[in-house]
Amino acid sequence: MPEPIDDVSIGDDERLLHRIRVEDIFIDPQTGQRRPSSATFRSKSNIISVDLASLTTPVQALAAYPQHALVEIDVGTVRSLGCKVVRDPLPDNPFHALLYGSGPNGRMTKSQAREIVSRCKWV
Amino acid sequence: MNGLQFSTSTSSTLGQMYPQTERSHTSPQWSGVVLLKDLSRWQIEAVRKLFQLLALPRDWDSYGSPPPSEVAITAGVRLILGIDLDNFVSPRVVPVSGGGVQLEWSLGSREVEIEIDDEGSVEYLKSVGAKPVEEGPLSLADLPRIRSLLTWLIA
Repeated sequence: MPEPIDDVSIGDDERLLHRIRVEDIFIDPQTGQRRPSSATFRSKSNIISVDLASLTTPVQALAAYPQHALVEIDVGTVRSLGCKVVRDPLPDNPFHALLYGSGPNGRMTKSQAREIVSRCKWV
Repeated sequence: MNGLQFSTSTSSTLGQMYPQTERSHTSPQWSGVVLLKDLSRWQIEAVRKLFQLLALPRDWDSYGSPPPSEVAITAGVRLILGIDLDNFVSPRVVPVSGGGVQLEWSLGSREVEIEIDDEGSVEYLKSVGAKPVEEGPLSLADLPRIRSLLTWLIA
């Protein structure tokens, strides 16, 4: 797989929406706040699916999965962690994009995933 | 489950399987039996959580992932059984997209994550105060290294 190229047409102020299975949310003992496991931003396929928040709504993002929770993180933050964002419109989801890490073939490193779940916000 | 079975029997004829592999048993698909009485409470809890993940449906993550593979679950169980720490903390057990599983321990400001992918490859992450400090590959056969990672939590 070629190294993904960051899509600069996506501004730093864009927000990325990502669904979280509620069972993978826990109370962080350090902050006392709920946060997703870093595993929610890891994938064997190296692909982390997100939706571009400026083009959709939380209701749309959860429409087919109402039992899931939703987090958001801005593109500037993920870029500051070395991640890349690429548009990937799908027939049933034109707002779809892919979030890549700085590992081989765009793999999200464990450190990047851990940083993201510390910084993302609940929608 | 690749030959790993659990028993609540009080018989001690078959002790804890790990790290010995391939014990014989009357049932041909079994290579060993682990007696619950030989395990710490945290290990029993962790193993139970791991097995529960096998029941996840396809698309459990809403992004089309299969459930954790039997290879990943078995590797996770063997890892847990290989840790000879009594009265330790039971890890959070979380599925990973693509058929993997992650074990997460938190103690004070320190965290250790051990992630096993669908083929049994393992990576770890150490964090302090939510800041990652070290990550890398890990061999499940390297029990001293795994023990060192976990005792770092309480050092």
